[in-house]
Amino acid sequence: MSNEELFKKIFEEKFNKEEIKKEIISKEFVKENNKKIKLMPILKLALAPICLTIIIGGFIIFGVKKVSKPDIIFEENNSAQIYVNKIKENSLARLDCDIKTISKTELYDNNNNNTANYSQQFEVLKNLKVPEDFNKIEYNLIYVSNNENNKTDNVEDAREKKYDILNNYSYIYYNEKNERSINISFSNNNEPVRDYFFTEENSKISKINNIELKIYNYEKIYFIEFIYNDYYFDIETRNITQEELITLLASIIQ
Amino acid sequence: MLDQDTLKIFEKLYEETYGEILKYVVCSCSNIEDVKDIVQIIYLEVIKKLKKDASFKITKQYIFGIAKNKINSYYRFNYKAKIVSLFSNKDNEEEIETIDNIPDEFDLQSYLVNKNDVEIIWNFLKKKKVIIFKIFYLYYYCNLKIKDIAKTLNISEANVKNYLYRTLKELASFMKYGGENNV
Repeated sequence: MSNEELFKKIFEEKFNKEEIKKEIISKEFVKENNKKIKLMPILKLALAPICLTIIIGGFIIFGVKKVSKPDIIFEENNSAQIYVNKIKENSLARLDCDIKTISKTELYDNNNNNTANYSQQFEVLKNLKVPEDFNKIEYNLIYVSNNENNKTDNVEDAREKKYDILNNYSYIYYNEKNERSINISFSNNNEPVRDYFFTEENSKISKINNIELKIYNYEKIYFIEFIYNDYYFDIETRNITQEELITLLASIIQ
Repeated sequence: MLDQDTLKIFEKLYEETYGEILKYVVCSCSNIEDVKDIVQIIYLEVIKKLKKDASFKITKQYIFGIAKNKINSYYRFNYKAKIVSLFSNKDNEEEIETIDNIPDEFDLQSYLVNKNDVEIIWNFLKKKKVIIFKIFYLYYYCNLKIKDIAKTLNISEANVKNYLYRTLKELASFMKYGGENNV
C-alpha cells in the first residue's frame, strides 16, 4: 500500500461521510425528542437576605371560615400555620439540566423500562387539587449530569454533556391561556433542580399537619419547599390566590 | 419532525457539499479533534433551516456561511482561542528547520510507511502541529499539489515540503520501532 493509499484510507475512515451523516440524523432525532436547556439563565429571581418576614394573612388557622372548601383535610386538624416570606430582590440563577417532556401515555406505560416507575411516582399527587381552570398539564423529567468534570460555562460544551441521571419529576399544570400555572417538582431521592435560589436565613417556617414548609412570595409567584412522605417537593405557582395555594398544599400534605 | 422530504433534501445537500465543507473545517480548525463535531453542528443547522422553511433554497454558499459562523462561535465558546485561519500561519515558518537539504523534487515514497495501522498513524498525526495534519489531509486526501497547499494555508511551498518530508521521515522511523517510541 502506498503512502497515498494509506493516508487516504486513514482520513476516509476517520472522517467517514456516511458515519458522520448517521450521527447528524441521530442527533437531530434525539434533539427532537428532548427539550434541551442550554445553560441559559432561566429564572431570574433572587433575593437578598429575607430579613423581613411578613406574615401575609397572619396566622391562618384552617377553619371553615378561612378555607371554605369542605374537602380540605386539615380543617379538621385545626393545626396549620402559614407564613409567607416576602422576597424583595432579584438575582440570577441558572438551570443546568435536560428536560424531557413525556406524554401521559408514557407516564403510565409500565411496560416501558424507561418509564417503569413514573406512575408510581405520580401516586404522591393522586389527591392533588389544582384550580378548576387548569385544564392543561405537562409532564417533565429532569435529568442532570453525573460527571462533575463536565461542568462548563459554555453552550457548545454543554451541548455535549451527558444528562443521564434522572433527578426529579416536574408536572406543570396551567390554564388555557397559560396565564396561571403550578409547577410541582418532586423526587424521593434528590432535591429538585431549581432555577432560583433564596437566602433562607430568618425565613419563617410554616406548618401543615406538623409538616414544615417554607413559603416565599415574589410578586405573583409563590415558591414552596417541603419534604413529605420522604419526597422532596418544590412548588412554584404563578398567578394563583392564597386560597388556591392553601387548597393545593392541603391536597398534597394529608 | 424530520419528514422524509426534508431528509431527502438534506441528504442531497450533504452529498453535494460534504467534501468541501470538511476541507473548509479542517483548514479552519484549531484542533483536529474538533472537526467531526463542527461538521455535525453545521449540518444540524442546515436541518434546522430546512425544517423551518422547506421552500428556502439552500445553496453551497449558504452552507459555507453557516460553517463560517459555526466555526467562529465554536471557538469563541469552547476555547476562547484564536481561530487558525487559512491566512494566518506565517508564525509557523519561524519554527521550520533549514530546508537546504531537501531537493525540489524529493521522493515522498522513499519514506514509505509500510505498516497498515490506521490508529497508530492517526494518533501520531494528531500529536503533531495542526498545520502538519492539515498538510497531510490536503496532500493525501484532497490530492492538492504542494503549491496549492501552500496557497491554501498561506505558507511557502518550501515549508509544505519540509513538513511533509520531515513528518514522513519521523513516521517511518516511528513505525520501524513498532510505533512505540516517543515522537
